[in-house]
Amino acid sequence: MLKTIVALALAAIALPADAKQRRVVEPLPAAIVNNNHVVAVEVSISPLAQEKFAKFEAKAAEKRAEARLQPVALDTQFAARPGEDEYATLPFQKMFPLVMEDVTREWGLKGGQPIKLVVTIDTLKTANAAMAILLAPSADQLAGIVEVVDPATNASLGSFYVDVINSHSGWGGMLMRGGGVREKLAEEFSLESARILAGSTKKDLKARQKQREKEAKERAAAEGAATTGTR
Amino acid sequence: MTGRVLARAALAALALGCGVAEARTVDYQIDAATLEKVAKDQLDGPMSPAPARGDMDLAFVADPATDHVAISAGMGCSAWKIENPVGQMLKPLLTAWDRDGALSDAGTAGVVTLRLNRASSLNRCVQLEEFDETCIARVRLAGTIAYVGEDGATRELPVAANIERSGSIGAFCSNLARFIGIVSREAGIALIDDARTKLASLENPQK
Repeated sequence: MLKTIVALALAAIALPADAKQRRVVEPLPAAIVNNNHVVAVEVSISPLAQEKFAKFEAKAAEKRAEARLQPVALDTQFAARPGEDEYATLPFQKMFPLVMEDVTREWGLKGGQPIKLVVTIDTLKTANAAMAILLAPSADQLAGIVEVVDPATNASLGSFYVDVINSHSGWGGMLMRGGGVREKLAEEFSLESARILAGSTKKDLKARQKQREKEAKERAAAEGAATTGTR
Repeated sequence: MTGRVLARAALAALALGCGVAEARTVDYQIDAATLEKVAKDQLDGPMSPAPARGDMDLAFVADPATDHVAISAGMGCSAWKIENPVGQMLKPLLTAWDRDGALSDAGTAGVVTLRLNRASSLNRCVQLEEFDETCIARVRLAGTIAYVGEDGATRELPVAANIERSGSIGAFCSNLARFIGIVSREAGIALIDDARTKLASLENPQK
């Protein structure tokens, strides 16, 4: 036990506070890298993680009830796509596909080969506040394997693994962490996935971020002009 | 102050297994009693028994590329390079299934040949809670089973196995290679079960 604590403490010195890892397991065909768009996302939870998930789902249901929204089950069909402000109230398996679609679209993945992502989550873990404040850094983690599938034939096109870890330590670390941890992890997981689907390099990453910011400004300007026009 | 910082950095490097991709090879030569003991320690759930004796003479051929390096994904233990010579794993299992416990040469008359064409292993280690790490290994094997049909022509049937098991690997990733070997053995047994089932359906064709 003591060895584990010491190793964790020392690992925290060496590991960056926001370590992320993505690893290609079966490469995608070159023709569809940066030439694909997500049409469907299926999420399943590994049996190892199901017990922990029950607690997260209960919390999301509680938030939904507090917001006086209709309960959502896994087989619920939405009449309209839920807004981002509702994501924290949705079951993980309903929230995650929405986040993945949002992020991949923001990355410019809007045309080309339609793909379905079949995601198996190995773990969703949140930082232990007491441990982070008193003893050693504790981490939020979301990890899983993503199979990229042709939705027309269900043929496998490739697969990759994503492991998002965000470490927190001390009072400051836990305060900065804030709320919406589950949604933040889903967004970071989706960002790592988008990087693989887009074949993104470091240089390319900066260009895409600038492009996203530019599009966001143009959208805001267009919305502002539309509002002025209707007055 | 500088000395303390350097000492902490050195200790951190040690704690992470030096962060260097050290190569290890799965050892398939361990005896049955040791295998049973380590599987009990490391594998979640029971280990499958070796295949039962069959009534066919068998041969085994493996594409050299099937001896491969396991992919270690995720943040935990991903610095380790584990070589997985699955051909070595399959031979004793096939020998257990073989009629007289001795594999024949491929191409010999009356011999059924298992040909292994593809193999891959993927391992990832994740934390379920603080101080509760688990590893999940997935091993995929694919090949063919060649037999001589009633008309004297050689026929091939595809066989495959896709096994995923969870378990523990000890502190500092010390028993990672052994864990991958245990799960690979489960995949080998599943491959033989698939071959056995398909051959049995041929011997008893539905009319």
